[in-house]
Amino acid sequence: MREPIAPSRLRGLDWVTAALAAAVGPHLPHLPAWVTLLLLAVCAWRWTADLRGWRLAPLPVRVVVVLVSAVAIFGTYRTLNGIEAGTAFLVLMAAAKLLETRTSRDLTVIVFIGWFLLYAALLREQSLSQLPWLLGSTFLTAVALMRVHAPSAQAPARHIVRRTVQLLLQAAPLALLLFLLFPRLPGPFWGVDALSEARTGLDDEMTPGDVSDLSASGEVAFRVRFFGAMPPPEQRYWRGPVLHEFDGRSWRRPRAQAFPQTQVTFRGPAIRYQVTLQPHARRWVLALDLPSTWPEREITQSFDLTLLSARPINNVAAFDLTSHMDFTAGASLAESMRRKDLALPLDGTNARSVALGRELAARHAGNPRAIVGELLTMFRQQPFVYTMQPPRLADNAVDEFLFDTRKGFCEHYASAFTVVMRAAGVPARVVTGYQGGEFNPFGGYLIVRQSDAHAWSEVWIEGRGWMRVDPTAAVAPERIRGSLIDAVGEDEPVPGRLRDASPIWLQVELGWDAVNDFWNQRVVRFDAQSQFDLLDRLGVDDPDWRALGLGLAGSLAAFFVVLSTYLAWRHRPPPRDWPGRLHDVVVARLRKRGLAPGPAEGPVAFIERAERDCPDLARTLADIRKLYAALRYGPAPRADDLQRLKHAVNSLRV
Amino acid sequence: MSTAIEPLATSEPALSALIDAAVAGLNEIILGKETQVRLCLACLFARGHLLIEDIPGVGKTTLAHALARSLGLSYQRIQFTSDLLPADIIGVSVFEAETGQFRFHRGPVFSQLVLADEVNRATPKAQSALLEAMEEHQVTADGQTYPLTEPFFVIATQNPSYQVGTYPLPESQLDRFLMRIALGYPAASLERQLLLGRDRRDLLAELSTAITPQQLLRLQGAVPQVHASAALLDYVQAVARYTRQAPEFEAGLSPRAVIALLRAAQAWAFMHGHEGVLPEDVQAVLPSVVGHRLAARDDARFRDAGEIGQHVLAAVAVP
Repeated sequence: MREPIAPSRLRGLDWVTAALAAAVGPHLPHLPAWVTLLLLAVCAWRWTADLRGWRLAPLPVRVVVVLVSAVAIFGTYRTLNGIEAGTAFLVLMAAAKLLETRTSRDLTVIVFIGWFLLYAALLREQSLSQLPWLLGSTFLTAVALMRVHAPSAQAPARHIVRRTVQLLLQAAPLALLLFLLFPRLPGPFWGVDALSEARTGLDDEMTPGDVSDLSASGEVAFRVRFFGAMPPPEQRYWRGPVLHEFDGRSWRRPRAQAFPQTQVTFRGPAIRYQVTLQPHARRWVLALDLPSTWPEREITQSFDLTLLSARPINNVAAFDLTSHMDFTAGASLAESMRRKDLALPLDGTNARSVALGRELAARHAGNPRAIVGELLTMFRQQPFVYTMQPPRLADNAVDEFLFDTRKGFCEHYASAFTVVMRAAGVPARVVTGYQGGEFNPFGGYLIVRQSDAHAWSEVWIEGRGWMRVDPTAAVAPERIRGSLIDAVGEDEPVPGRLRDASPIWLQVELGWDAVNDFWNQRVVRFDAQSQFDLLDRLGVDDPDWRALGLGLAGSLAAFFVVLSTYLAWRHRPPPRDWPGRLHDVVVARLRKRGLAPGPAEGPVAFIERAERDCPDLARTLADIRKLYAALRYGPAPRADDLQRLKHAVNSLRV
Repeated sequence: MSTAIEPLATSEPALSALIDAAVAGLNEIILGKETQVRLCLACLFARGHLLIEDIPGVGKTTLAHALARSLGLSYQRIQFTSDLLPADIIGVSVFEAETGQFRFHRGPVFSQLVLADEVNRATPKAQSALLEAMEEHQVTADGQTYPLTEPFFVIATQNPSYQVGTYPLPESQLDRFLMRIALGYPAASLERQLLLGRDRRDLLAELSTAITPQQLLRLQGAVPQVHASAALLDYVQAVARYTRQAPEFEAGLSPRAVIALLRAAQAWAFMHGHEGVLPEDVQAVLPSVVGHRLAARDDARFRDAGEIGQHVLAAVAVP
């Protein structure tokens, strides 16, 4: 009967390949070039094959392609696991699947690979900026799936898109419910915790002679929300790793941490705030100097008062902290600590600085405050310059800086100050961290950027304990009170936004940051605790996993009840008229005789069959049949037909 | 679905009796094919054309011939072959020397009942000549339009398309036929009667006219008057909607096909003396009306039109 089917185009192939390309998009910067090229080549080949009606690759070719790509991936990454190798392998498998797409089922598989790739992009990064692309690609992939399964080949794209939008909107409440209530595993995102990429942030080593790369970065390091008044800029020292060991050039944290915990007493008002850290792949948690309380389950404090997270911060993490500005830390100093913080290299480097220290000690014997004061006065009065582009320093870095170049930034000053203090017999150490921060009026929080990275010193004074001394403040007080841009001259490497941007652009940027912050706080960081808080606000006492599970099950059930009620209402049968209802009665009565209408049996034919099967009822049934046909299908039923039908049905005794 | 439903109140008892007589006469000739015979008549009464698809030798030509005799229609048979030309169907203008003018010699299509035998053996060009005539009830030759005689009824027979040397009718042309039926092999006992009985051709000669062309025209006029209630139209539309949404078909029924379904059901209701069209009437004609119009997406799914019809009917609830 039908014409032989010409080799026709595989329906939906175009959409599916486009959706796959969109799903690969977020991975492109991370994929090896050969994987991308291979995918492109396969897409091009499959399209041509479709247009020209070529035969698809035979099985041996496909097997070889799969094996070779598995080996090549293993060769590139030395593993098939993890985000990097996993996504690359998945992309190759999608390409291999394209080689054998014949049916809509094959295309469906590719659609699901596309969705999984989009999901994998979230494992890598959860930033707001990639969200539009992910959502767009998800939508495109859904459209492709609908295209593959459209009831008719001629269905216009407009209809398919509309139908997809409809479906996704229907699914949106479900997605929201699952987002809010699906139990979250505490810890890294789905257990994937392999971020091989370097993250910008503080290091646990400081070499003042080298070039600094943090200062030019406008990237956000962390954000702080204060529950109460925010301290002024010159008091905002964010404490990071403390460096004790000096080899003449570089400062390091001690390997062994076997020192007694520093005793601290706090005075004055507490400052409560929440720190939201961007991932930096290290453990330290930046806190306002000096933290007094912190979530004990997630954070410990090192002996030198730096907060450390239980695990490296590879995802956006937030902590509620309390700090005191007024405190006494380390009223007594352990002997091992004192030795550590007085140690200088024994090889005779930086001899002039050591000599300066000894001279200061001799002049102000037993008065460390005076030693500190005189060195700061020296920084202030002598021609020291604050610059982000200091000359490179050689072996005797501290000497060269203090006596020759006299140009540097916080690291140079903190390092030189600490060395001289140690030489003068005052225990001292370098503290790195951040200083200051920019208030975002749109979000009501403080943004601390990488360009706010800072280093200062701490000296131990008998009777006072550890005391913060910031030599940079003596040289460039505007760096501490204001921002980096106020402290340096022209042509210095500071974030471009600080120099070139117009005020309007800065406002836009702050607005965007506020949106990002909302995204991080409310979406990315929405964890088990947030779920419990939500339940708590909804009036659940003492929410736990059980309550969460019950809430999820209950709201899912409610969702489907509402949905099915609506659908039942939408597709409700038209109201039965009287003849219809009477016919239903007849059918119900005949059921008692074991008679039921067949799936395709019309009402008249059914009653006729009943007449043959139940001769005792035949006369009544015949009346019913004729009256029913006349009422339902006849041209002009008589006025009393309905009455007669009612009567006939009532007289039907089974 | 040939159960005789008592007429509720027949508006034209005379016509009803004529129909019964015609059916009875035809059943004498074509043994055991009462349903097909009734469908043929219903198709004719609904002013539709009929396509009979079956292997050679099951009585297609005999049925067409018997119909012509029984209805007293002028009858022409066109044997379609691969070298058939449109002029062989429509006719040809011939130059006459004595008058010095072209005169149109009418072809076999100028007849009340045309049997287009093995229509799928001819080239699409020749097929389309006939199909144009079927649609327009007129033919055009040399810029001159000639109306065809009324009633005009085409019965086309076609060999199954898997046979060699066939040009299958495209779907758009299949749509021109109101119904497509198959005759099938006779039952064993009836085949024995065929073997024992007289030659069908002799019987044909004896067949008397049951319905005159004038009566046929009246009949055809009465069919669209058969009442179709709102409930019945709901049912017809539900059937159409199902075929359009069902994934097993390439495309659903066109509005023209839905009208055809209603007309055929009206003719069936009329033949059976129903005052209004019953769902059972729709069900009776449905396989023949939609079988050639619905193309299954999966070729192997349905064996014949009856299965397609049963599938559709089982899926749509009777209101």
